[in-house]
Amino acid sequence: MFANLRRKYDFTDVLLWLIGGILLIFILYGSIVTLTSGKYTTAQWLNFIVFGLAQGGIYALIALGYTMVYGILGMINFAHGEFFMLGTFGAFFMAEALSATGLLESNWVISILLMLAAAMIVSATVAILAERIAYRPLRRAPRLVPLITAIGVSYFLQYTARGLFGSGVEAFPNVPALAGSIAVGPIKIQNTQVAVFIATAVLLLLLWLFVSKTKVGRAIRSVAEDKDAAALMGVDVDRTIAISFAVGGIMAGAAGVMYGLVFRQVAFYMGFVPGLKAFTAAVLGGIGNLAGAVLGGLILGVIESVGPSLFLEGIGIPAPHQLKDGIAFTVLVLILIFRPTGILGERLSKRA
Amino acid sequence: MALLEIKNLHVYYGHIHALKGINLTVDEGEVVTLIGSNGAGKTTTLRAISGLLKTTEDTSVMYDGIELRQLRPHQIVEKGVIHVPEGRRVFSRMSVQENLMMGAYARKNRHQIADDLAYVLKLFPRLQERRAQHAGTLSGGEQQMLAMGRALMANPKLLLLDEPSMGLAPVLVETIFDSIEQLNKQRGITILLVEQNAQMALSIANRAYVLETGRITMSGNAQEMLHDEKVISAYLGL
Repeated sequence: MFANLRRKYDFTDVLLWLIGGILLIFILYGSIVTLTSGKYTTAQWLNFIVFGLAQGGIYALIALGYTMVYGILGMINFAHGEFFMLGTFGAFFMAEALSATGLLESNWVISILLMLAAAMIVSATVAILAERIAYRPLRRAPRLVPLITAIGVSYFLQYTARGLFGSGVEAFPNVPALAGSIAVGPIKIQNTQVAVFIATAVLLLLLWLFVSKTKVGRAIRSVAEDKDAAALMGVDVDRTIAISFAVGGIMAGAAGVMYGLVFRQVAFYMGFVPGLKAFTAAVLGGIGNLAGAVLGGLILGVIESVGPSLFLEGIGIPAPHQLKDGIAFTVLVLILIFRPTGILGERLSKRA
Repeated sequence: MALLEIKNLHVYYGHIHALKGINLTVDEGEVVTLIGSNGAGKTTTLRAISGLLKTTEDTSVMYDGIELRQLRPHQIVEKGVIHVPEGRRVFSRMSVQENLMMGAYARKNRHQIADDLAYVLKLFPRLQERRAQHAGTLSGGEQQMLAMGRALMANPKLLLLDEPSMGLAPVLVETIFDSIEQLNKQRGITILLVEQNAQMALSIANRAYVLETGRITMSGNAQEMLHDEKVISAYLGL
């Protein structure tokens, strides 16, 4: 019997399970200690969750771009975080202009729509150009080649932004109408968070309708499943791939506006960490799966928001909130060990 | 009049010379079959016609007065050359209905599309029963019907069929070949049929070509080939 098990699982598997198990035990132990100490009230936990969902909504929007491109090309577009960053700059300049004309104070709905438009146009344009210039010529190259190219595109865009907009952090203009917060029972929700929830929900609905009900959406799904067969149906495969990059860019641009509204800052390096987090979210949900990206984003946002207090404070780690990135990537490690296909994922080998 | 006229078709896979100068014509209204053993280049020929493979500069693929060689696959589809690929290649994560609508992707006229959908569902009643089902859950025979139905939704003038009998039970092979004959006779669709089942292919074809390692070695009337000694010993296994 043991011989059988040994044949099925090799040493690396066992070692990884051991690491994963130890991490899980720490997480469990920390949670129990924190919860029994009663340091936080229920309302505080709920506030953590609300904050996490708002953050997770932003991750979800970015993760959709990763997962769409992966679904259609089998490639991780590591430059996607930069599409998000450039979209945020687009929204930033639009917001500055609106602030200068006073429209930001007088008519905030139109202002936000204009910011969304600017961010989406910038992100989508950059996404289309990156696909056309950097990725398309490598369509038939080995899989590692576009991956490394994506990292190159990422650096190129980051340092182009640095050259154009400077290396400092700029303050995103304040939208006065979104300054306050509303109370739902014991929970306090920032107005900006409400805006994020609404905008994210609307965008997700629109994306779902687009992919599942329209002709172009059907073309995208057909190319994702079988490029040759799609071409034989009369689908322009190159154009369809460009469209899915554009859609991913649009979502990233929207995420940029949300990020600007919630965190009120913009900088050339800001795409990197959210990009990696969104990638983690996409893997968590099952990469290639749109619903999975959304689910993964929300779950990751909540874990990151609740995790530091819940897992780490109990073990006595000081200033745990500085370790929230560590928690996010620990999540990535745990998924890769225990469920590499993600929550809603199918077998990866089949989609490769 | 030749609807499709291929001259000097060469295809390379890297250094491998897969097709070594094929000449082939298909007249309007004909059923022409291309038979040959595994690896002879039958599938390669069809993939070259529909633009999925690159051909050499001196190749000519004339269809209805248009040179297809420079066109991309989706443009060739718009001209009415529809390819049902080997292994059916239905979209398994889409419903049967969505697969059929993918077939009509390049078309605009809603009335004609609706008419063709009704025709396809009448031709293959099994598809009607399974319209809402995911294509991946269909049996092999049903998937072949779907692949052909999907091609019909594109309103083909020239249909390229690659191994429609592959992996099917003999009863289903009959059904599929009956429908191929029907499409040719009732709808006037010209057909270029690639088959390993030479017996079936020759029995419904007007003319035939024999392909061996990238070259055409025989051609002629399909009925005569059915009785040709060489063809019988090599491909009919009698």
